[in-house]
Amino acid sequence: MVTSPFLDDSRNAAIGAGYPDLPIIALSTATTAGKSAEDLLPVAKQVRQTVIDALTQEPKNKAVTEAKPVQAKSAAVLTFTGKTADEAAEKMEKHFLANRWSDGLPMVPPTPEAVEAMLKGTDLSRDHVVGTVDPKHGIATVEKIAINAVMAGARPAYMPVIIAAVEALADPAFDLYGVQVTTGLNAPLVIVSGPIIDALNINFSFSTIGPGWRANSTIGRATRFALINLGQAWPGINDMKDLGNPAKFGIVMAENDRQTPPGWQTMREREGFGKGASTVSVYAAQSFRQIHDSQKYLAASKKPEPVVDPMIARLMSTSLNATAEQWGEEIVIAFSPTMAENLKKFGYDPAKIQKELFEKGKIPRGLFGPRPLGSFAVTSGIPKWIDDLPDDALVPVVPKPEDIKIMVAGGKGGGVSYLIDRWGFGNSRYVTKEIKVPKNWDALLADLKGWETPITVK
Amino acid sequence: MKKRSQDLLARITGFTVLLALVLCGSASAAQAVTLQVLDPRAELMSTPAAPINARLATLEGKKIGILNNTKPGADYFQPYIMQVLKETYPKIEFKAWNVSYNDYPNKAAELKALAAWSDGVIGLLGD
Repeated sequence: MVTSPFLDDSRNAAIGAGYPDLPIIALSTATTAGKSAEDLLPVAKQVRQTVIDALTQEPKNKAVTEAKPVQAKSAAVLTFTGKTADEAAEKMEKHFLANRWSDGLPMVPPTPEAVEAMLKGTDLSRDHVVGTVDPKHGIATVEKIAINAVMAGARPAYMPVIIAAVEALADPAFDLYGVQVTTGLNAPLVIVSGPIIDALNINFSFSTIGPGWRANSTIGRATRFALINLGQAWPGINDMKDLGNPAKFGIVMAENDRQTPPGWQTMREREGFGKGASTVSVYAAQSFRQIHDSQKYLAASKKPEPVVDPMIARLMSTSLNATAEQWGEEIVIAFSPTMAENLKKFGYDPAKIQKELFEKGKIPRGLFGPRPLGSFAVTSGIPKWIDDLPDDALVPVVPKPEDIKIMVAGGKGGGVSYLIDRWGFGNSRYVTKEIKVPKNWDALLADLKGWETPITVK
Repeated sequence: MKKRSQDLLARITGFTVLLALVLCGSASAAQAVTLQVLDPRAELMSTPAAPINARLATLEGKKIGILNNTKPGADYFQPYIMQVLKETYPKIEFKAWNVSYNDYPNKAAELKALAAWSDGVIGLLGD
């Protein structure tokens, strides 16, 4: 049984799980949570006979119940004709929009020639399966990734990053099914780290999260196309985010190695990769919360740790947001180089910041959520011991200090940074994959000439 | 005579217009542009589709398991659906299992216990 908005979603899930005949009954209400007997008893009476029928009557139109193995096969060719090239392209755009294959922006037509050129960006064969993309378990072949990369406007040299990002999204640890279908307002944030940032002209400096650079914009967009066309998640059908998220257009953030304070490890090193490696991480980002440098704005307070204090408030508020719903496994903090420098000046390194935030960012059990936390606490992975604490006992917002992921990104300006909280109503983890470049790497980089936007580093 | 001349002129004009249209059409056809693109959608991993169990003859005296998926709405609605079914079938029995919706693969034991106890199951609730 489901509430009314979730009928299509549930049907899709039942088919995907192999039970096309499963009776699904929609209630005449959008939500039951918080409603009284006066509201819900009539709703139950309305569906009583339907429930009885579902349990006692055979389905009228039995779906085919035989397994039909599907093999990854070459992409079908679609043909559009017009009086002009523009008209043919417009027909393609309209067809893609009508079928939910688009993100709404103009696309580069994925012609066989363009896809062939895109495939030069990898040594993997076109039918190599990188993973399966939820919720519809789409088989992410290299060819399908390349088609969507062309549509996004990517260059072949970006393919190693895009492939690694799809691999990370498809990793079971990321819980892509939950990320795609949830009502929670998340979107995967793609984080690139390592020498490939310079090689591909990925903007790591001012407004790294933002438009203006071909690599940032199209790598992010290609991952979104993969979620739309490989995962086949459609808003209101099986992607139930009430409001969506600006990051659903596909955004990339790049670590700023060059201005990371000396002695601070890079993000990829803390995730277990070598400093010379290049990596891509995916993170189910929900809210981007600005952290100001209070050393500058609140200097008169003369607090002992004026730089860290505002972060604590932000961190605590992630758990106050929705009565414990946000008790997640990870939080990402992206420091601007200026704030990172100030922190270093006060004797901080990432480990000390993690420890201090973990200790000081605890909130009283009484504010953490209802008591008992209820069955949904199980869903969020909240341990039982939290439920047993007295109201004034302090609860950490992440299980351990290392779950606060720290990196330096963006430009060296005013010292304004981000705390990015994570979708909390599930088990999605921060997943990192190494980027592997093909043998023809130098030729691919040569192709990037003319596709660069200057990056300002101050 | 004048009328015949007018008819002839009209026919020639008509033919000229027709010829012009045909030529234009040929020109348009010659200029038609075809755009071929590759389908961006992935093939979907096949899931063997299973039939649902045979339906019950009646709910009277049957054991109905409630699979509460731990979403907040499930707790709210559960007592009322049980209540209205009990009104119709006084001898119906209920037993609820709270199994987190995103952790089914790790809860096989609970799900097997639910299946073993139940004659029928009602799943609650999205969302």
